Amino acid sequence: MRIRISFLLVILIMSEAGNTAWAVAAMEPMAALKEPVDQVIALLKDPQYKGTDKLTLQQEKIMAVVARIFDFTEVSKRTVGRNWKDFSPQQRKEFADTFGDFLGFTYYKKVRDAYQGETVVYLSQELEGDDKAVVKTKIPRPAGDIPLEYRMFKQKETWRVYDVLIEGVSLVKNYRTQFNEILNKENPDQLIAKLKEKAALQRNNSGKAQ
Amino acid sequence: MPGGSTDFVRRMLAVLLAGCLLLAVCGAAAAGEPDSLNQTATAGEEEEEDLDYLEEDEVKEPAVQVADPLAFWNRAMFYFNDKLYFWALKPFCQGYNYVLPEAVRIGIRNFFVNTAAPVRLTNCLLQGRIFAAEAEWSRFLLNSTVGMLGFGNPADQYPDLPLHPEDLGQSLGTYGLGHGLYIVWPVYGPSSLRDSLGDVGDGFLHPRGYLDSLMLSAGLWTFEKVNDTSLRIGDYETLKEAALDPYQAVRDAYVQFRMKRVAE
Repeated sequence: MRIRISFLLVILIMSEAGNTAWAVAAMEPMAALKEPVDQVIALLKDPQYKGTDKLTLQQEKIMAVVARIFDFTEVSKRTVGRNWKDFSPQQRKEFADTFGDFLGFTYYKKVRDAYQGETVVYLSQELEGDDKAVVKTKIPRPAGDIPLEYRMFKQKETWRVYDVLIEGVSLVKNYRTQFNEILNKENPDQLIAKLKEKAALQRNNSGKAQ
Repeated sequence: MPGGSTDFVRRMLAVLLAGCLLLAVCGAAAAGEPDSLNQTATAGEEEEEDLDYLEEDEVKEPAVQVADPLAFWNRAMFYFNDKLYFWALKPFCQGYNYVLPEAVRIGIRNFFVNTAAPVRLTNCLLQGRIFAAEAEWSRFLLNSTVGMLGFGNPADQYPDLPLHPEDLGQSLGTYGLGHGLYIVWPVYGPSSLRDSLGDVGDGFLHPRGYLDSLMLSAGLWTFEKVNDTSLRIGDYETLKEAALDPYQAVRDAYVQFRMKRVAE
């Protein structure tokens, strides 16, 4: 009897240890996505950001959350594609920062104006190998659900997003066409300058209420 | 407008809108990110290895490019449609939205979607998808009766009866036919040679084509288009703002969207 009990104990301890190790080692991609998304939704709902003068504060907080789950260096690298090898480390950093700002300003305004208390429904997560995953979600709306698919990769045990597909249209691929066209004729600095100009424009717009 | 393009415009907008909700939300903050410098440095060191993902991407999901020999015409039409939207369609829809509550407009959209069931059903069959065709048939029966001529959408309550937005352009795509070339029609919007042919073919399957009066058909088409647009004002604006070249952004999104539809 005693042997049996200790055997049971060992199994229990092992499985406990196993679970804990698993949880620490790798948060599931869907859970890794859900946490910051929930935070963004909470920020969008928070009544303390209602006034026009609070918009910049709300934007900064949301962008900080987004930067944790989105890897803009990876997004930039994949968006620029083959031309990325022509970018110096300095240009790469500048490009990633600017592109992140640009996307943030543009979509923050859109989300803020369009948000009507929707929640996100998490549909599925599919692992592709050890370090890639696709998480499918949708935003239910009376006028039709909006399907959003996140492409994630694991880096140093952390899952981060490198592309988003809305109705099957990849953000990365959509910008790749546009950036390639510009890089066919112009150099990386010129592209960065264009993007900066556009980001500044969106920053001005995003501070305004609709 | 038969299946393809309209649907596309609608979805696309939804898309951009959507982009919004999250992705979007997401954008910005790369700037404040503490380790983006490190990552960039790493990327620099592993330059060769760095580009592996491109090939991997190419194999898994080849980038579909579309021939655009009519770019000059297409850009002009894109400009025309853009102005049509901002000067006429959008202001009209804003008034329309003021008069009709969203629930009513969704009902109207349901009605139009339901009347296009023959197009979807036939194309499910053309693609050899018997069960999808059966689901379309069941949807049509249920929504036309319980759903009061299709204004209601009770079929949506049944996960086994999803809408199959198939059209002839997609059927041709499943046979291996490519887009041929990209074309932007005035008023009608972005399309391709294949999808335009498909839309013409689908026109023969759509009940609207069998009305006695051409004016009535055209009027109903316009009504459907306006009603659809009224449900997604603001999406096109975001798409345009988010693009460096809105023309290219729409063209690429069209091709990606249709590719996904064909694959489904």
